[in-house]
Amino acid sequence: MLFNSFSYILLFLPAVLIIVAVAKRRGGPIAAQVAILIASIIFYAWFRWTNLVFLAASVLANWYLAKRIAGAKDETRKRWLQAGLIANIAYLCTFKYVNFLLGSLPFMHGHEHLIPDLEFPLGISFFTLTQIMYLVDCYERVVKPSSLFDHATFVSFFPYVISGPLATVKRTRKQFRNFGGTPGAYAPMIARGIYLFSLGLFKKTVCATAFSQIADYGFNNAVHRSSLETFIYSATYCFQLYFDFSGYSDMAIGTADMLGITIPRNFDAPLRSKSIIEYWRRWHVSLSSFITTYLYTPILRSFGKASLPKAMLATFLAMTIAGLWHGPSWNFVIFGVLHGVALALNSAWTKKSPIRLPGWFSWLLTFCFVDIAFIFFRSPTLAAAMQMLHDLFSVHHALSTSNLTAMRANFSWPIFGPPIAVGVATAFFGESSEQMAQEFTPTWKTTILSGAALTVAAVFMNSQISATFIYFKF
Amino acid sequence: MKTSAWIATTLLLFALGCGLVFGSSYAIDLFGIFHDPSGKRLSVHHNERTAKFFLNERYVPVNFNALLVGGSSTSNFRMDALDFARFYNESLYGSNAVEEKRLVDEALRRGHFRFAVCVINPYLLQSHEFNEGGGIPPRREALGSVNLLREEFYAGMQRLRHSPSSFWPDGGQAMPPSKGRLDTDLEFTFKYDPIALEAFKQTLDELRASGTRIIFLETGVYEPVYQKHRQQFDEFYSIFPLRRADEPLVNFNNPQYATFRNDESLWVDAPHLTDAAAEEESVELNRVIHAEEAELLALPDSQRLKR
Repeated sequence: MLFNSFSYILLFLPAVLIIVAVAKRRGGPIAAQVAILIASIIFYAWFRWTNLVFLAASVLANWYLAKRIAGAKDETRKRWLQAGLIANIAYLCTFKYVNFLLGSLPFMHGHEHLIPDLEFPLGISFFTLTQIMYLVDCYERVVKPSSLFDHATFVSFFPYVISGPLATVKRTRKQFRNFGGTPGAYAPMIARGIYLFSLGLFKKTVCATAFSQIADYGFNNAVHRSSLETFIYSATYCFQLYFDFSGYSDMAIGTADMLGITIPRNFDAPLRSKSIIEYWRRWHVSLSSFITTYLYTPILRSFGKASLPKAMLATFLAMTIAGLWHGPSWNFVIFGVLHGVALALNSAWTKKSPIRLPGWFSWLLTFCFVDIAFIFFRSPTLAAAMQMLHDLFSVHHALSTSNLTAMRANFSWPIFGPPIAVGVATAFFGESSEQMAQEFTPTWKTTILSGAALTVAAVFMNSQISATFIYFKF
Repeated sequence: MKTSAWIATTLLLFALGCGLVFGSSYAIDLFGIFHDPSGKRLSVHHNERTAKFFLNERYVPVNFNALLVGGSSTSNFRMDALDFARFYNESLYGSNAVEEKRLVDEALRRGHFRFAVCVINPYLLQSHEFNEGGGIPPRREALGSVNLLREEFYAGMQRLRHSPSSFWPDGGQAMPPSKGRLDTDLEFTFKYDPIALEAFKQTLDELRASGTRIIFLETGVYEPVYQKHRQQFDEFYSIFPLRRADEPLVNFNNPQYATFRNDESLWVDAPHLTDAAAEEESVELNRVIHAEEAELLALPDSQRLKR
């Protein structure tokens, strides 16, 4: 079930809200939590019920591992953590990278049938990372191990189980008592949730769809692209991904708000960033936080005494791993490497260079770099990405618009033009939707904005256009 | 504003907004789905794939009793030149047999058609994917969707500017003018896509099963291009597996039409005739059918079904 589907908005979500509220009133917090757990199981099984086996196996194994980590001492404790990390990474790799690794072996060429075609369980990248954080936090004694009931509720919580935001046990578990709301504070949370959900729905179904009309054409159909066209195609993909993923995150956070709990924010107007360091503080914030805490810091610690070159190397390694986490493709590895190098250079520049670039130039540089890196993210193959790069820096017909002219025949400016204009304006100049939700007050302005966003989104949802979220495949 | 009032107002605005969109779509009824479309003259305004799908739900079955199933080479054929039935032109730009099947299936759900002129050419059978990633739009799209909004917008603009749509109420559409000299190096693909071929076979079987008399049409190609690929064209048509012996074929690549085909001024590009030439060919199609199939045209439906 997708957040941007009528079945979710008109049936599932209202039903869950009512059932959880009734359960809370009649049976207390435990009954509300039971209702949430059942709803999460139904939500997850909706996509493919066999996936439940993989989720359940992961939940059970990590619940057990956490208990053993908490119960053990010294070296045994460390061994249990190591076993847990290896098991989780192996579990993820089995589904995500087996084909990639075996396919990369020269002697496997032409023997594709030897490679097992493993079904990819939805959300495995996210619920595995969530549980890695949980095991490390148990080891570090940041949290105590959860009961199986709490752990299953935490991992499978339907707003974030498929694509995040990545939540931590420390912040989330203590809120379980709030499922179904707390007296006096619930109505404002529901209102804020509806507001954020409506903004997210608009971003995903209207803005991301509008940008995808141009980006998809550019990446799939255009030939002999000029530099200008290539830049426009990669920029529109950048906007598409931003509105798609941040829209999804808004809907996840909004849904959690409506259920009475707060989960981490994920985007903070990243396309306004003036450096790559700032960009990663604003883009996919929960993943950036994971990379910093659970990858970068341990890597840097393993190098001994910290220094700038070591920090740069740790950044590079952490981002390369993060790139590979996105999927089994050299394109994602290169995406991670590019960002790793850029972050390392950005750190060095900030610490060592006396030169301070003008703000507009820093922004332009950052935006152009992000665009170029996304060419690798979007292109289906490495060869296609290299062709795009070649087109981008081709000087022979830098300003030609023949592809854009050809695209115009099938592109409806009256329908997709306004969302594109709204999208560019809000991404560059407006507040992020999560910020808007933080500052939410119940006024006529917000109610009209929310009602209009929901209505326009409903019209787009009722249309035959791509509905799935880009980040579902990761 | 109280929070509870805000929640209620927002949900109410959402419901009102949806009601307004769906209600106005119902009232405008651009595709003749919600009200009786008998005698109306409805046409595509922008996106022919979606619009024709919806027009085939009621408008085509109610107002027409014959179909032209083809691609862009017949999209500007004049249906009023075919005087033995009321033809609707199902041709789409860049069409293939799978897309055409989608339209015919929709028309056959409610309609009965005496004749179907079915075009056979390499374009229709070389691929099977829905152009524009379309597929079959859900019916609820007619109540309010991006595709509908787009059609309504262009319909409104055409009315405001008093400029008629380039699409006609019988499904045809005007061809853009030629861009200069014809490209004689145009390449064709002569491979049958098995899925497209199967879709075409199913379309023909469904038409036959509903008692529709099928007339095959081989559309002409600009003579120098035709001669360049003649062997491949001949092989393509000679092995065409789906025509039954009793089903007539009108072939505009026959030598008798060579002079017509050789006139560069009649072509927009190698497979597409200008509107005037397409009208001429439509008249000729009508003449040939009258001359060679007069007996069949005179048969009442019941006897045609038996044959």
